[in-house]
Formats: sequence, C-alpha cells, structure tokens
Amino acid sequence: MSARFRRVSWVVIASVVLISLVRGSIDDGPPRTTEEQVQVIASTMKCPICGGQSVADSDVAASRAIRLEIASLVEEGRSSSEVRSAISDAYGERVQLIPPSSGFAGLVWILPVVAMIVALGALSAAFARWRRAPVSAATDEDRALVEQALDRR
Amino acid sequence: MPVARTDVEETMEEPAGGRRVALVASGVIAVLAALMVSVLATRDPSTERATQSELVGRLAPATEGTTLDGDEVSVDDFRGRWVVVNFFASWCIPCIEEHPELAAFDADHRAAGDAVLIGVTFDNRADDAREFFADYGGDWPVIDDPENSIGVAYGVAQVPETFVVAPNGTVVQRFAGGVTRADLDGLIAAYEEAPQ
Repeated sequence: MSARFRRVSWVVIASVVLISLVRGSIDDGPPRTTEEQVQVIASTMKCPICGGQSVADSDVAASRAIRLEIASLVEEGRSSSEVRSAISDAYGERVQLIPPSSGFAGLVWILPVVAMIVALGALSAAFARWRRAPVSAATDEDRALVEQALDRR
Repeated sequence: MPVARTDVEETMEEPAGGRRVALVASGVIAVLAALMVSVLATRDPSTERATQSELVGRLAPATEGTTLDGDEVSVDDFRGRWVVVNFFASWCIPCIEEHPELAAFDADHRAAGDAVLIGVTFDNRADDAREFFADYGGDWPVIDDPENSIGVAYGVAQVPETFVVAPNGTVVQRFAGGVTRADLDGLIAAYEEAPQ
C-alpha cells in the first residue's frame, strides 16, 4: 500500500467522522408550538418515581402533574432553563435527566473528554515510538543460538 | 527439532518505559475505580432519599385555594400555628390507612388550637374526594387542586405525602407514605422543646 493511498484513507476517515459529528450536533431548530416546547422540556426531566423514564414518556400522576406545570410556566413566557429550574426547586436535581455541567456531576461531561485526549496522546506516543524503533541487527549470540538449533535437526 | 522458545523469549524483554506506563495507567484506573465505589457506597439508598425534600428549611410554597366545601383557605392564614399539609387521593390505599391517624391528630390539636391540618387533593376529582371524606370521616379543610399545581410546588411524587410547616412558615419535615399521629406529635414536641 503506497504512502499516498494511506494518507488519502486517513483524510477520508477524518472527514467522515467530522461530518458525522457536525451533522449530529445540529438540531432541528427551536420548538415551534407550546406543545412542542413542553414535550422537549418534559423529555429532559425524569419522572420522580419511575426510574429512568422521562416525564414526557411516563403516565404516572406526578409526571402528568409536572407536564401541566411545565405547560403553565411555558405559557407564562418562561424560558426552558427557568422552567427546569422551577421544577428542580421542588423535586431536586434528581429530576434532571441531563446532568448539570458544574459541581461533582459535571465530571460526567469532563471525564470522557479527558479520557479521549489521554487515549489519543498514548496512541500517538506509541505510534511514534514504534516508528522510531531501530531494526536491531542479529548479534553473535543470536547467530550462535540459530546455528545450535540447526545443528540439532 | 524446534528452537527452545524460552531462550528466544528471554532475549525479547519489554522496554522498561512501557512497563512503567502500564503500571501508572493501572494505578490511575485502580484509583478511579476505588473512588467510584466509595462514592456509590457512601450514598444514601434511594429509600432514604425519598423522605428528603428540597423544601425543608424554606418557606412553604403558596398553599391556597377553594376547599371541597367552597371556602377559601391559605396556609398563611395560620401563621403562628403549626400547619400539617397532607396530599392525598381517594384511590390511594395508604391514604385510607393513614386517615384515622390524621383524624386523631386533627381532633387533638383543633381543641388545643396549636396546630391545623389542611388536606390537598392530588390527581383526584373533587367529587371523589368528597365521597372519601363522607366514607371515612374528618372535617378539616381540603383544598381542591385539579391541576395539582400545589402538589408540584411541594415536589409531591406519590401520595400520601405530608409536610409539616412551623409557626414561622418554614417547612420542617416531609413524610413520604403514611404518617401517624405519633410522628406528627413527636416532631412538633421536638421542635417546641428545642432551645430557640
């Protein structure tokens, strides 16, 4: 495989990854109606009694009540973060499905990035070392060992 | 005859730097794992957290509305007295079980005038709540909350839930699940006896 072909392959792989990341991070724009906004906010809040299910997906009384309260706050003109904050004031941060970016819970966001950087650094260092490693010539000891093995045949 | 592998392997020792890196990486992973286990092991189990409330230590949320009898009532009207706010629903079995305890508490303290019991419906139609009181007794004020907005302001997750509001308007305790007269009396007595 030629060096040029290898370079082009790496460029193609990098482009595909980059395009996928950019495409994935672009959302479909802000919600258009109150119902859509309620749905979006409710999907980021955890039902207080049903494990990991969101308020949007759950039909228990508490989730229905929270959805109504979200709708009422949205109709008052509150922003999404104000609505989330109002619900968390009563139920605590445990109802947030998206962990906060500050405090101890913020490690959830930071650790994967740190791990990726460390892994990439380690891989780069390993590749560089392998490339630098000199091709060692056989020593007299090696030759003697091979001859000894051949004699035994 | 095959070459003795041990002789060859002895001559292919891994560089000392690689071993050091592997050792450090293992150490870091071990420390992170130990940290994670210690954090998880020292956390309160979910059953204990269920009785915590963001509201404890804060002023009680606005608790006002029309009662099942058509009167207007507000927690603020009772400032200077202990107020017990009980969220319930007629379809809830633990609510039926705790009802006699609440009735006993209400009877005791209504006479003494030191504490007030207020019920709030949660996910319950007014007619069903009225029928509940007709069946099981009790005549304390019950706020009809068809949209459950008072319940959400208190962070109610599952009825029955009971909040105790001190005479200064601060929430001092949340009881998740059924509450007893002894629970309420014990809590109020503890606060009354505590040095101010």
